[in-house]
Parts: sequence; C-alpha cells; structure tokens
Amino acid sequence: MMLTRRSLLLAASAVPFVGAVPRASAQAGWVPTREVEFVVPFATGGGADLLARVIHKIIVEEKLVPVPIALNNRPGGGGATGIGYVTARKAADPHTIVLVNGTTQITPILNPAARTLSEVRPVMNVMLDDFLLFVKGDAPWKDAKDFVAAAKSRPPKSLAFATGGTTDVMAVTIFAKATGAEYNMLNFNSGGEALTQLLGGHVQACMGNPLEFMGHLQSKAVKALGVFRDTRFSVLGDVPTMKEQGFNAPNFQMWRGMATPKGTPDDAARYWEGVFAKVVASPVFRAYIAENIATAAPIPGAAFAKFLEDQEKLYRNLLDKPA
Amino acid sequence: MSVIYDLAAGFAGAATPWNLLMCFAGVFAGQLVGALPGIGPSSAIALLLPLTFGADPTSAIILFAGIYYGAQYGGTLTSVLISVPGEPSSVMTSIDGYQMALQGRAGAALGIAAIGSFIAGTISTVGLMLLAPPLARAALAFGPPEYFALVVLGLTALAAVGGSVLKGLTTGMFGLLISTVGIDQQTGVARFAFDRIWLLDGVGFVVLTVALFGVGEVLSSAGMSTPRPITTVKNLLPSRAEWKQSRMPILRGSFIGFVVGVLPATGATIASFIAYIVEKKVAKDPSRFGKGAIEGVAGPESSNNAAAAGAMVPMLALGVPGSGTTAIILGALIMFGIRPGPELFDKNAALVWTVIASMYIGNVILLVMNLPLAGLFAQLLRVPYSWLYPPILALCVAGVYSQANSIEDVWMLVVFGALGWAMMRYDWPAAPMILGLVLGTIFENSLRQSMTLSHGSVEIFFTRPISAVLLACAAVAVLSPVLVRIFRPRLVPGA
Amino acid sequence: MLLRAIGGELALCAVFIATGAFWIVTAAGLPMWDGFAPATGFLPLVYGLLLAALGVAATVVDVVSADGDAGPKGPIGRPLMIVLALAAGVAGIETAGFFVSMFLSMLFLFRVAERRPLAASLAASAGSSLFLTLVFRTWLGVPLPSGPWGF
Repeated sequence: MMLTRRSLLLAASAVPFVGAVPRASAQAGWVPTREVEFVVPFATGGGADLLARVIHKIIVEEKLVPVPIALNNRPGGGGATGIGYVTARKAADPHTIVLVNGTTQITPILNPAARTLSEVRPVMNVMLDDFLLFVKGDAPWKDAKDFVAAAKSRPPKSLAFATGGTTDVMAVTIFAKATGAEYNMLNFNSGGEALTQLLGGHVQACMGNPLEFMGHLQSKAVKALGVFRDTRFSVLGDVPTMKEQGFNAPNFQMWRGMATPKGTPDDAARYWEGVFAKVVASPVFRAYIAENIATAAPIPGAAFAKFLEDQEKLYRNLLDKPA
Repeated sequence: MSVIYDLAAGFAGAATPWNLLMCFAGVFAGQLVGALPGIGPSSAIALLLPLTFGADPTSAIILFAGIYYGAQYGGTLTSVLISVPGEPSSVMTSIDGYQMALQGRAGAALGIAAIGSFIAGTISTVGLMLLAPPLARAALAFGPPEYFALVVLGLTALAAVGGSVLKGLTTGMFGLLISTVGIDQQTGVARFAFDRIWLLDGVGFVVLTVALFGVGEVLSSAGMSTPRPITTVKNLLPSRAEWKQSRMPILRGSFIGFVVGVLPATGATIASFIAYIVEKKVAKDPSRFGKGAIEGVAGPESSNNAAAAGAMVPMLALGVPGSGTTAIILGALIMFGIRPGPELFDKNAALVWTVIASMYIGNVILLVMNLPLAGLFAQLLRVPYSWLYPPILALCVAGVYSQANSIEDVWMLVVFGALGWAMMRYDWPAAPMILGLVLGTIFENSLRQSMTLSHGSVEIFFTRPISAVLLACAAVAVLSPVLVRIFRPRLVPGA
Repeated sequence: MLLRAIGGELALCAVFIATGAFWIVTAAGLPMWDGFAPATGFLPLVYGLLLAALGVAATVVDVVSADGDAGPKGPIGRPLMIVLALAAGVAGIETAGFFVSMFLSMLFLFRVAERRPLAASLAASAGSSLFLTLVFRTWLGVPLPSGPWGF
C-alpha cells in the first residue's frame, strides 16, 4: 500500500524533469553557472545536519549539478537564523538551496518575530519520520488503550511524558486531544535526554521517532504502544495505529525537505526539483532512509506547498495559535 | 578474566597500522580544534563524517573518539598561553594557568595538564572498561530533582571562585540572568530576545568566555602604562615539588570528571568547574588560587579529560548520548548501520573493545606529543606582547564567528570584551559569570521539570535520596565558612 | 578625588543595577506560574531582583570602604583605542571580508598603537590574517565572509 503510494510520488516527481528535456529549448532551462551554497539552518552534527550532509554527498558524488556546492551551517532560532541569512544575503538567488523541516515551520507560530517558511520557496519534501508512543519494556500497559484507561483512572496529569522538542510536544497534544485524558509534560533538550528519563523511570512515556528508540525497542527496554499514522508502518508492522485502537488521531509525521530562496524563477525551481528527485532515488539515500527507519517521501512543487499548508493548519490548531 | 581476553582482542584490533593512523589523526585533529576557540570536537566530527562513509566503522569511531578526548588536551594550550579558552571546559584552567604563564611557569602548567590528562584519561578508560554497564544504569537514577540538586551544589561556588564574595555573587547573578535570554525550553517561546532572531538561542557560552577572558585580558594587559615584563620561561617541565602538589588534584579531578561525565545532562565543563572548586576548598591556603596555583590547573584539566571518557559510558552501555559530541558519534554509528542500544557491548563487542583499546593508545600518543610541545609552545611567551595581542584579537574574532557563522556573535564579543576589561580593572571576577551562564539553563529547566513532576510540591527535592544528599552538601558548602567565622574567635583567642 | 577613585566601580555597579531593573520590568510582563511549576517570567524576575539588590549592596560597600587613595589603575585611552580598532575591524568584515578587515585592523594596532616598524607590521598583519583565513576557511570550512575582490 505504502510502497505504491511512494513509487507514485516518485514517478510524479520525476515527470517534470523527464518532461523538461523536450521543452528545454522553449523555456531556456536554467542551470547553475557558479558555486551553489547549501544553507543548513541547524548546527553541525544534529539530525538535520546529517541529512544535509548525505544529500550534499549524493549531489557531489553523482555529479547531479555541474558546479561546486558548498555547505554552510547557519544554526539558531529553530531555523530562523539560517533563513534570515538567506533572505538578507541570497534573496531570489537560485544558486542557493536550503534544508527545511517541521521545526522551521513551528518556530514562527510560537515566535512571530522569526520568519521562516514564508521567506523561501519550498521545492520538494524528501522524507517523513514517524511518531510512536513508547513506554518502558516492563510497564503494565499492553497497548495505547490500556495506557489511556490507566491515565483516566487516576487524577489528571498523573502520567508524565518526557519530550525532546516542540514536535514531541505536539504529538502528546494530539494524543491528549484524541484520547480525552490529561498528561503531564516535561521538556528536555533532545530526544536522547527524554529517552534517558524514560529508561530511568522518572516519566511513564515518550513520544519519539523510531531512530532514537530502535536499539531499545529491539532489546525490549522499551515497547511501542501505537503510531500516529493512517496505515501501519511496514518496518514496525506489529505496532498498531492509533486509529486501529479507537483513537481519532490524525496522521502525524515529521517532514524534511528542500527549498530555494523566495522569488526563485520557476525554471530554476524545476531544475532543483529534478536534482532532488534524483537524490531521493539514489541508493545512498535509500540506505540512509533504511538506517534511520524513516520513509522516503518525495513530494514535489505544488503538492509540497499544499502539504505544508495543511501541516501549518494542524500545528496552529494544536498549539492554539490561529493565524 | 574475560575482560583481559576482550581487551587483548581489542588491542589486536586497534594496533593495525590503519587504526593506529586513525587514532593518531584523531588525537592530532582533536588537539588542533581544541586549541581553536569556537570550533569544537563536534564540528570537527561533523566535517569528517562524510569522508568516512563507506569506511570501516571501527576505524571511524576510533578517529572520532580521538578527536573528542584530544580536544580536551588542545583546549589547555590557548588557555594557558594567551588566556583564550579553546574549549568551554578549559575556562577554569585559564585562571591559574595563565597566571602561571605570566610567572614564567607556562611549561610547568602545560606539562602538568598533559600528565594529568594522561592519568585521568587512562583511569577513566579503565573505569569505562570495568564499570560501564552498572555505572550507566546508576546514571539513570538522575531525574530532574537530582540534576537540580547537583546544579545547586555547583552554584554554591559562585562566591568561592573569585576574590570578593559580594562581587562574585553579583557577576554570578548576572550570568544566571543572561542565561534566560532566548527561547524558553519549557514553552518554546522567546523572552528577552527583543525580536532579534540572533538572540533566540541566547548568549553563546563561547562568546562570553572568549570575550571576558580573551579580549578582556588583551585590553587590560595592552593598556598597562608600564610594559609587561618579558617572560622568561624557567622550567619546561613541572618540578618535583609541583608534581607532588598535583598528585592528589589529578586523582580527585579524574574521579569527579568521570562521574560527572557519565551523567547524560552534564559534561566536561561542569566537571572542570566542580574540580576547581573542590581543589580550592581542600587547599590549605585557598588564597593562592587565581594567582598561579598549579592545583588549579591539574584538577580541572584532569577532570575534563576524564569526563570525555565518562561520556562514552552511557553511549556504549546504553546507546544514549552522554554529551553533545557523543550524540554525533551515535549518529555516525547509525550511518554505519550499527544500531546503538543496550546491547552494543554484547552485539558489537569487537568494535567496543577496539575503541577502548585505542583510547589507551591515544592517551599515550597525546602524552608523547604534548610533553615536548609544552616546552616548545611556552617559548611563544618570549614574543613581546605588543606583537602578540593583535593576532590574538583576530583569533578571537575568527573563533567566535566560526561557532555559529554569525556576525552578531562577534559584536557581542566586542561588547562583552569591553565589559570584561572593566571588570578586570576593578577586580570583579569573570569566572562566576560564566558559571552562572552554564548552570542557569539546567537550573531553570530542572526546577520547572521537577515541580511539574511533583505536581507543584517542593518535597520532591528532599524525599529523593540522591537529591537530598546533594542538597545537604550544598548547605554545608554555604554554611561552613559562616560557621567557621562564628566559631573562630573562640578557638583562636585574640584573632 | 573620591569619585575619581571609585567612579569606575560605581559605573559597573550601575550597569548591574540597571540590567537587574530592566529584567524586573520585562519579567513582570511575562507569565509567572503555569499549572504546577514556575513559568517563563518567574526566574528572570527573581534574578533581576537579586542582581539589583547585589548591585546596590556593592555600591554601598564601595562608598563606605572607599579610601580615595587606591593605586593607579592605568590609562583608559589605549584600551579604548584597541577596542575601537577591534570594532572597526568587525564592522568591516561583512563588506571588506575577514582577511582584509582583520589585516587593516591589526596593521593599525601594530603601526599606530604600538609604533612598530612599517615593514614588520605589514608582514605580521598579512601573515596572521593569511594564517587564520587558511586554518578557518580553507581547512575547517568556516564560511568567513570574503570581500568584493573574492578573498
């Protein structure tokens, strides 16, 4: 099911590129003529940075662009600093590409002074990361239903979640809204710290991406009670969805994609779309996705813009910050 | 006995020419980035990561671990010689280390740092080898209340680090206050950022450190009307007496560093602060501190090295990051298709033991490399200061810029540098301000997390045993000087 | 004479008191308590109050214990000149690039502030600037800004 959807998206994304060949002369297809700057609005070494380095490596090694491409980390302010740099120094410059993700979208919702996605032209989503409800391996709850029943049988906020960032907080909020129970929430610096708190028994549950929890899932130090997804995640086929367990939770995944500066001409955006479609299709990227237990999800151009619009609505709704 | 067998296998794996080369390359690169302010081991590892894709994971992890502990050696160099801490964990070293350099004892300071780091690195690698799984499980007992209590204990040092108690408390409070700038981790909403994007992440620790110590020192030394006496470099290595003074601080520092390093939310920086304070508290004559006490170099330097090995404990035994740098090494493991988790020690025993063996080798390489270098680098101080300080300023600018590639950070460097000069001029200690900034974030987060966990009751700090013991230690630390002052007149009549 | 001796001290105290006061005022507009735990504004308010109080205490101690004949503190002119040279160098980084801007600022310090020989000043500034650019930009990949002439 998932596979067909994924390959469909891949095919769809490849069409403009393949189709561009005969039309190239008519449209004078854009190609980069000088060094391209790849802006990563996150610190070196983090998850977003690693993805950027993989994409960079693929573009360079498979010679997907005819010019050199330089990485530039501009971390800070949940992505706002890097995108502020692009706005100030690289306005409408098609020789610039930027990595964007869910965090960049959340930052301006909470801090209106920070402007992020409104300042770039989203080109293509490349991957999606799932959220799962984790509890300790020896916890008494078999599934999410048990967990919710336990939460409801005790005074409100008796069960505590450790979260490692705003996206985790939103997953807990979705869960609370869908199940009608109240939970306590403790915020930590990273998913790793949240996991440590769960292993130490200081909190009862975590919402996390499969990556950080996989080793502990395999050794049964933690167990997964449910996934925020419309259909089961093939890699973790025995984890039921929230919907299956009777909770009306929307599909919730962390997205990561690529953008160019606002005002990039259409032909340049199409060029980059083609490049990123090839990146996603490359074996190195597939291996990366498999190792990170994520889902390759190339969503090109207009579809990506629509996807982001829906995500923004969902985030604003969850955070109680209407536009 | 299986330890000996495993370790022998590890040495066999680590001693291949290629892995030895990786180990050497790692500690050498680590030493270099450690000496440069702003650029730290995490950036260096991230830079090298794409080059190692497809390589043997063991060699890559040997390289990365080498960068990590090598950086702790390198940070000392610039702290001692030019009062610019290359790494956050070398701040305490620059207090007494730089004073020693001014007295012509730079060789001794660098030498004892190298020896102390070697001993601490080796002791803590033994600890990692023998105790990793039980220690990692013990570290899990640290929840928000325990971290809160640990930070309270650290904060009792605000007054102890500098000269005047009142001035130390004031600058420390200023550090706590600026730790509240930027996005509040508990709500995700910014405060005190004045709608400036570059303030959303707060005032960088590196920025403040390099400004107060590096630029502040340049401004006060270069401003002296009488030229600084040209330093003669007396001894290139620590004397017998200095070595004797440093033995216990090295052992204490190793222990403190290892334990603090194992805790996932604290690291080498906090470890070095605690080691310095402990040395000052146990010293017979605490007034020597800040004026070139070798214990003030030996303790923190051993401690930050031990912390680097300590941070590998939760990483290897539990698969959770013990620090920012080990988080990146974990990311690298995943790239190599190795799933970090509680079974790493069993499932990937060959890798773990080879890396451990390489850490012994790397520490020997660092010692061999650093002892001759200590004397060599100490010669730098023969250069008149007027030739030295303009490039120091340029180094501070480049280093601070490289931290986040941000020009605004460099402007903060200028402003806080001027503040650092004013503080030095009127004897306001800078170290408490750094301590406040470092501890402020974790103090506030752990307080709010604990209160949320306990549904608003402060009892949680006193009913949990580890937290209660740590808070009792903090109370003793605060009250002991007061009690001594009250009772001393009776004990020493006429005093 | 008294003011001259402790004027700098008092100025520093004033900086700390003013910062504390600013934090108090700003924090007062933030939420203090949320559910079980202190909210965004609570600790900043506490820190502001404590810093202001400590600043006042330090002022009082300074005035009471001032002896008027404290040792000379050294001139202010030279540190001021150095800090201005540094600021000018920083201001130039984004337009003239790191290399040129730091070169000029070091040259000024060597030649004007320290009155070193011109040739040696030129060599030392160019050498240091080149070395730092090489290490940070070329080897470590830090995107230090470059000027309109490409370096």
